[in-house]
Amino acid sequence: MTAAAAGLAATALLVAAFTAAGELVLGRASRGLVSANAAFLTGMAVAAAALFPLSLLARGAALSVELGLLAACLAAAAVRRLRGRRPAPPHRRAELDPWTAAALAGILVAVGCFLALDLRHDLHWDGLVIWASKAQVLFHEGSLGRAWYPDDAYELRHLRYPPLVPLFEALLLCVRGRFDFDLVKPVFVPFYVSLLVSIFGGLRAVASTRLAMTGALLLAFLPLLSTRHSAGGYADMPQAAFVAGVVGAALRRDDDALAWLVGGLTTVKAEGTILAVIACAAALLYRRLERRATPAPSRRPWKAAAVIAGFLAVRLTYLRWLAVPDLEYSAPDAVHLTEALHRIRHVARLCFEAALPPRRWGLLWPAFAAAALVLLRRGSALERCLAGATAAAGAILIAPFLFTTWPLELHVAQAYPRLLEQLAPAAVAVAVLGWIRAQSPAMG
Amino acid sequence: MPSLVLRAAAAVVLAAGVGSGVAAFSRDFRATFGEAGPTNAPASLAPQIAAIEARVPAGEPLLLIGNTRTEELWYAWLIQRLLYPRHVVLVRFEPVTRAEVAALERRWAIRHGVALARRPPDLGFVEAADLGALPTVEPHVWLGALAAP
Repeated sequence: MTAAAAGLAATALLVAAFTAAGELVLGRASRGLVSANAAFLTGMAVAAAALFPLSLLARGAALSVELGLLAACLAAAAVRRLRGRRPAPPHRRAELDPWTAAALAGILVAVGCFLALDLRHDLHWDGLVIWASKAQVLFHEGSLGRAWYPDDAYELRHLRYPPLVPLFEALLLCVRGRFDFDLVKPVFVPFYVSLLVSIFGGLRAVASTRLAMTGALLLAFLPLLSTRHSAGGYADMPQAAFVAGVVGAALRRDDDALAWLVGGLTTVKAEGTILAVIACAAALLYRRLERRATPAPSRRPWKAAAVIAGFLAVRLTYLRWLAVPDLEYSAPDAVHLTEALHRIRHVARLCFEAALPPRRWGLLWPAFAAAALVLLRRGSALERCLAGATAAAGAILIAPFLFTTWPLELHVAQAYPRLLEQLAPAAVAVAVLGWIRAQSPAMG
Repeated sequence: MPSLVLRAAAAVVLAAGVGSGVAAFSRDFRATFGEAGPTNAPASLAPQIAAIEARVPAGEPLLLIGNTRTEELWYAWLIQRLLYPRHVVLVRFEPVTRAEVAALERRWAIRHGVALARRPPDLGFVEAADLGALPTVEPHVWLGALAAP
């Protein structure tokens, strides 16, 4: 077996284990790819959130404990499947119209291209210096700690990054039996496939198969999600996979998975905590709007609130426990607030320009802007909340640049496109929904 | 809005999206399969790492003096990680003074240093060995014992 095939096989095993863990958490067996994908993301989010408490309880052994628990989940799921095996229902072949079939073929080509690039690409800067390095330290230390490569205060900031991607990488290399930077890349393939499945599944719940497949096609070919950093080991595409998971679950009205996926946003990148808070605000707004229209909104809001609060508590406790100063951003004191106020127009212009290059985005963001306007005027409560939350996230994620200690232009140019990349699945969903709504009567 | 206009707009957005993706895949395929290697540690770095490991006993911390020019910075981090956990590598970037090096030697019980430079820097290296050039950039990798502080 070649190294790449062995890596993909080990990754598939871990994906199955995360899915089994997610099914256990959600209390349901997956039926179909979309449902299994939600379980996969849920299982991964729970495993990542559990790593810090486990690291406190089992210092030096948390990674092994996680691997053992995942193996147990996988074994239990396998036994459950074998026991509950029933004769398969007669297979009905889905009829695909030529457009849908062509879009599906295009998506498969994009997945193939991503796979080839991912397995061949060496790690780009953050992919090596932050994410795979965090995996290396985790692999050798056995748990999350305060240790980093020694004696460099500035580089200690990498400790603050959430652990989901390094955990997946470290688990993969545990399965492979040794740490090697060349072996971590297969973990990014399931994230890429996951974000396409999430958006297809979400759109399929509210639109035709044809439009759902078209949305997934648009997402599959988005350069920032499918090439360069995404194939170079950065965590922005995995963060986008969680955003896609949240959007997909919201559109499918999968309340059980939604809370876990919103919580899961906090486990991938630091800005995921901001995205989780925005998602919570959107959910609250949705409840308010729905209450006006129908008497029976979400069934278990307190359970959902507890789940998300749990994820936020783990994240904030981890940061407090580390006590590593944030050297990338200045404190919002009077001096820096004044400076930030003076920067607003300049930063907003830089960020606006970052959303325009067609070479990077095609016409995604202009299409999103037009569709968001349509949805805010004529959309359902859910559509309005989705469009509003995506636009709000794009605007709120500008704020950190007002306090950056980096050269401003450099920081915006390097970071803001990657923040928008995380929102791209939501933008694609809004663009498709806006297009549908522009042709249909207003929801009132 | 007339359906035809909407369909045309959707077609333009879709074509621009897929077109930008195809162009990006094409660029990345050329760069990845044409220029970049299949490994994070270029072939010429492997014997340099092996030479360091052969000369410096396992577990002994190392001082690495590098430069913040982008590619050299990259190799400094890469060498630090490739030597971990066999060696803890303290990375410092020029300009560094002999007094700073002496303080690090005392604090970390460092006896060997690695420098990424055109010539070994005047920081107390004793008999620095040239392990060869870094890939694609001018500086060489120098390994030497450090004079006692």
